Amino acid sequence: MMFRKAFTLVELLVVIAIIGILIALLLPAVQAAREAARRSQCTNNLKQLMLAVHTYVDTYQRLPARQSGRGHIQALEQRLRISGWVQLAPFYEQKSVYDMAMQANNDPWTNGAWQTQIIPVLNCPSDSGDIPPRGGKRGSTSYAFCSGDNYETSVHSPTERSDAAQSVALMNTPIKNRGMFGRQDYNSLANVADGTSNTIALAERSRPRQDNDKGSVIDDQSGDPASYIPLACRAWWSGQRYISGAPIFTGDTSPGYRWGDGAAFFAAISTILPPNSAVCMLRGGGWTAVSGHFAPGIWTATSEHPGGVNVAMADGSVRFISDTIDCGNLGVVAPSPTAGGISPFGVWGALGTKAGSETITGF
Amino acid sequence: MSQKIWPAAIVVSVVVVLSITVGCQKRSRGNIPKTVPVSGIVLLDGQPVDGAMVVFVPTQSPGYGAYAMTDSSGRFQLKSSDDVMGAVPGDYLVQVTKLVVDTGKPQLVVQEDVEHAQAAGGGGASPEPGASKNVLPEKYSNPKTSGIQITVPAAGLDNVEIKLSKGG
Repeated sequence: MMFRKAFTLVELLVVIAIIGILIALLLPAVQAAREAARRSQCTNNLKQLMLAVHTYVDTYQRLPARQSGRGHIQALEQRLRISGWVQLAPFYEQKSVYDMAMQANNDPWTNGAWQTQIIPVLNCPSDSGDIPPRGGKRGSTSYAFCSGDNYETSVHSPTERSDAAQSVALMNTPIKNRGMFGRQDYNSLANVADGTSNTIALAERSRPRQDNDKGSVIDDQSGDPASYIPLACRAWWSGQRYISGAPIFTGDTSPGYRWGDGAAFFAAISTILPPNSAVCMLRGGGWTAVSGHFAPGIWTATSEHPGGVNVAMADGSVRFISDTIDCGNLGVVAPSPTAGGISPFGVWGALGTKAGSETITGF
Repeated sequence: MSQKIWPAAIVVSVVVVLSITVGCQKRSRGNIPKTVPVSGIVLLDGQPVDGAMVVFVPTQSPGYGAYAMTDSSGRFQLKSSDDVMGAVPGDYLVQVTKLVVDTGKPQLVVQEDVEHAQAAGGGGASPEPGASKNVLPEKYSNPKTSGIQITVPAAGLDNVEIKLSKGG
């Protein structure tokens, strides 16, 4: 009878192969666990920000505006472009940054001390964009304020910015929309007639790392907001990135890289196209001459989480919305910002409106 | 003899692992009903147009639109979403655009102040660097004015010709 004192070569190889297969199985799981941890922190950030929103409401009896500030859109002081994140800063324990911003009293795109602050609670750990594909980098953010299911703009008209008399005349006039946050539009929670647990307050907008990356903005010069159909915007998106040849906006700073800027380009989300699809600005029909950051657009929610985006409802709860959420009929023009009535864009559109009177039963 | 069984065991386990991982890649239809294949070509004054975006806008509600970009020979195959090829049968109005980015102009770092200064000086608006432009006749960019109506039957459509003309 023969005794074996060692393993044979075949046995060793087999064991190594089995270990290899097990590692191959396990590694993606480890990566997924890391992403789950980042997503969890991202959710927590949104909860903290909603806590700040509610503390703000307790103090002022009003919600903050997405875009506000001293001066007017053409000149002076803060140029009417300060974001809600700046207004909320004292309520998420960044009062020193707020004081710095109010002391400086300048516009949010200057390369100054407060504009370049990186504020951790405004940055989702999954959102890894660090260098803007276009323009200068300021403090980054991953979140934005919901402006409903209309094409959201940052100026009253294409000429408000170029016409001095008009910009002064309109400097205190709010731009209302179907969502919770607009320009100088300080809603109260009583305006959220659909119910605070059925209305989106904040959502994610991730930062692009390259021109055709998720989060970049399509510049549609034939897109007239009066007749534009969201489907035409979605057509530019191919699932992971924009199709080659897509007309990406390259004229100025990319979205996500200016936390202090309240323009819709940086700080709004629209509940029209499904999460993680195309973002488009509409510069047809008289808007051609308006510089990109002011133009109306579809500011779609995007994230680096697989399969969906985090949104914070007005009641402070945070939900994960799937990319396949019902978006209704994307072949119709979005409602006017001041119109009432039910959203044509399914459950997603209904969640975005504050007073659309839709019935929402689970999502 | 047991050594002979090992290679077979490895092959079996590899097949099992592969079939599990491949089989788990899901493609979601969302809420889109059954679609049928639609393909065609875009012609401007008889010449095929490459890189044109074709959007089929549904006339009925609830509607599910479809879209495609033409390839180098002007041909396209409609899809209803990233994962769903084809279009839902029904009546559609069609819009066609071709946006071209002007890359010849220099990029500025922070343009905001330059533009504000220009506007305040009454210099009028100059086109931005890198702005896109529609090179097809503007009336085709709106489904209501394009005058192109296509019905997709339940059997699908092959080689639809979308004819555009510069003269309008």
